[in-house]
Amino acid sequence: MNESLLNVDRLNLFLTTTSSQIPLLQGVNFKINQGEILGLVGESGCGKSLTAQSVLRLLNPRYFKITGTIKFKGEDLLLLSERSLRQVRGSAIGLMSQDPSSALNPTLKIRTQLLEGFLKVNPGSSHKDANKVGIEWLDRMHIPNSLLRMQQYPHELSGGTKQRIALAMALICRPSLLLADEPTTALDVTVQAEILLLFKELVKEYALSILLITHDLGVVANCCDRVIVMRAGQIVETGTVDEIFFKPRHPYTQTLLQAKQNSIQYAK
Amino acid sequence: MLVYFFKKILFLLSSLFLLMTLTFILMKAMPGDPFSQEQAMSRQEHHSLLKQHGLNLSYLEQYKNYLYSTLKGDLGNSLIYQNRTVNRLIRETFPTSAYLGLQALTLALSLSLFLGLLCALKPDSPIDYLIQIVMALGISIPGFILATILQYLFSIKWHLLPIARWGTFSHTILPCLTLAALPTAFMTRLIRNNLLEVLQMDYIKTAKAKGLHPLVLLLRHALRNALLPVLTYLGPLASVLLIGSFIVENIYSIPGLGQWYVNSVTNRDYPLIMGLTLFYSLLLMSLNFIVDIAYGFLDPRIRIFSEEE
Amino acid sequence: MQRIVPRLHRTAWQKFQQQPMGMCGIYLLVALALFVSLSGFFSPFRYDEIHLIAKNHPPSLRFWFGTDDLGRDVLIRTSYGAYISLCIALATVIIDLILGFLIGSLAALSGKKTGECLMRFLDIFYSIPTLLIAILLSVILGSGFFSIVLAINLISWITMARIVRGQLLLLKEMDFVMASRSLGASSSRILFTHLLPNTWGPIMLTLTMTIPSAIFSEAFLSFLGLGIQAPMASWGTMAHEGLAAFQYYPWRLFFPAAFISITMLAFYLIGEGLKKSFNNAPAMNLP
Repeated sequence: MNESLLNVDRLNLFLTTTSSQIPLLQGVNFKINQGEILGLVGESGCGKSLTAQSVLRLLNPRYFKITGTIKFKGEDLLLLSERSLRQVRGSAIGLMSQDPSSALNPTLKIRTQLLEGFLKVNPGSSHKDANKVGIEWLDRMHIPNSLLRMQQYPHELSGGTKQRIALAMALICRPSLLLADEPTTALDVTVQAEILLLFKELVKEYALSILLITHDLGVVANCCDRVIVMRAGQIVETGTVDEIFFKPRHPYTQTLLQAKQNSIQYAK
Repeated sequence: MLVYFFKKILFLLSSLFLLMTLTFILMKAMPGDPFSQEQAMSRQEHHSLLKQHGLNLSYLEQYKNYLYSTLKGDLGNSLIYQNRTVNRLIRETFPTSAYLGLQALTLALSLSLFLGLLCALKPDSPIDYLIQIVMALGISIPGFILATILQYLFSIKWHLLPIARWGTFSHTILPCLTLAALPTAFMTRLIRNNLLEVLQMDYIKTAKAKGLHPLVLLLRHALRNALLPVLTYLGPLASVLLIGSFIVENIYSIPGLGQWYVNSVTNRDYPLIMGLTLFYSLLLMSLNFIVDIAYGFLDPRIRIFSEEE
Repeated sequence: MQRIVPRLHRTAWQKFQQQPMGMCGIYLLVALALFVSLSGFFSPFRYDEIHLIAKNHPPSLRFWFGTDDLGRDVLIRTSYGAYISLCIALATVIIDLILGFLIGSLAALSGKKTGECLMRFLDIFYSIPTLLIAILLSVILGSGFFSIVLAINLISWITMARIVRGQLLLLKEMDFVMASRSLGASSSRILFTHLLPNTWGPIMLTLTMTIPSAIFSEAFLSFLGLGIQAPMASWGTMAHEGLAAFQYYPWRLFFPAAFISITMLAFYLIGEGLKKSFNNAPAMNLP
């Protein structure tokens, strides 16, 4: 089937203040197909994270107004009731946040946080079974001592481990789409490479699609199939990785690439 | 964790020791001795009275005796009520005060939890503003004034509740309300602000993205983190309730320990003042100690850190 | 070179002015001060002037707030009570700033061990319930303005010391201090240009808590009969006397009570306004 998994059409996001509506995202269109990794690149503050949060409607409706359509497997997420939306979150679409240190609840054990999504979807399962699933996932994330980790608290773990756990948390219910918001920004280069490798493995193994949000073009080149470039709340260019890197059309894309080139030059 | 525990115990003991020394010094700083007020008596009689009460020994000796007897648990005799020991007074009247205090504590905790939640879930709404205004009043209006207002409205004007004294449940309502007002105001504010802060945190966003039910989100994730600081407030809360009890017992004529304390101050019954002060201080410091230890248990960051040290 | 970006104080002040709560508090205090000065100038009565023929009169044209059981004008006595409370506030500020600020800074800026020792030592005093000590001291030192002030503030300055120390310790480790040091700034420059200006926020915030606490302590002590004695009129003494006669002459309790509440409210509002305008102040768990 050639229909795309996620189809975002004319997405607009406004911040409502007492006096006005400030546009944050304007006319955002993109598609994600089954089994592909779509990179969303842009500078800090251009609206990348907001896009991901809008998909899952995580923004406070008091302050944020969304218009447009976000079709996931044919269904418009913006029209769903809260209850149906809760079914989508976690089970159909997973989210992985930027900073692993703040994304995990400091007062809960890893076990509790990891398994609560699973237990929501499989309420009847016993603790033993749930535990097994949790440990399997931790092992899948290449986390050593998974048994011990389950009983530990977030502050006892390193950044890389925490991010892997966050990834496991997002995937434990086997969603078809993962929204990865700057997953490698807070990590050092070696760990970064491992996480990206993990992404590629998971895509193959679970037919996962990933929206990979980042400001690092290196990550995009490493991992993504297609790319969309965002600037100040608008998509300025779309294309495959090769197209973007070797035949950039929009001046902004060219600036981004040039900046990356320059930094490599300086390093040499 | 063990280190944490021992540090706290050491702290508690040194504070107590300091307190006892302080009260002893203060007691000796009072001009004259308890018997100089008595009618004229011969020097011999005066001297033998002093000897009888151990007051003719050197200060160091008296200090040692004082420490020894206090540590044994003997807090001395009242000056004015000659046949009453401080211990007996405490035994007889403290349960009443404790009952009132616990009742007020329960009310304050449950009410502030409810109100704080309400405010945090609907911030900047009319109900939020209303509750905040009421709480501001609760913080500003001193206890004795609130007590008077309540007495006036509920007893004198509307004849709903008894104006004073102790005995039935309805006697406990007005004092309890008065006593719980300030703590409720403080804690509602604390819970509201903490909860609002916690709800902005990333881990709440992550939990929401997992599709958890909002109630689960609140109870399992938000409240745990938001209420931890409230635990540390419990120590000062005990002090507030204690001080409040003096006023409340006085105005409502409740036969509790606070009433005796106020009377002893008015009557300058020095030994009684000292003994009760010591008792109250011990109570408060122990409560603070317990809260500290409990906090060490409940906050995993402290618990584990100490183990790793 | 002209400043393009205004100093932090000015920005903070501007932000504060936008807070309705904080400004309300300031206005209340200003109104109070006006009340004291105007009534001081224009009242035909003195606070201890007795009018035996006008005992316990309700508010009238002659006595705007009524009279008490010795025929004294309640208005001028309330004003005098305000004056006393303001003096107590001033004394608290002075003691807090001198003792609290100095010792807190000392504890933070001296070596790690000395600082810790000092704070531990102070903490032992701090853990003793302050109001109880205040009561004890009042009993011994007797009443009178200075003994009351001493009793109230003997332990409470430690709160300020802790806050100041906490804030300075936090600031000391911050990157901008390290940057300044690496540029060769001397310690005193760092102290005066970086550390102290950033401490004002928490200091002011703490003052909005210690001042009402002191005023309340005085009222409480007077209520117990320990504080300022007659014929001097503090709000606490007036409330104490007014309480007994509340059912028959309510105005005697009402006015001092109202003024105490308004003053407490004013400081609370100022504190809230401050919290919102200094939003980079360290998170304090006190509401």
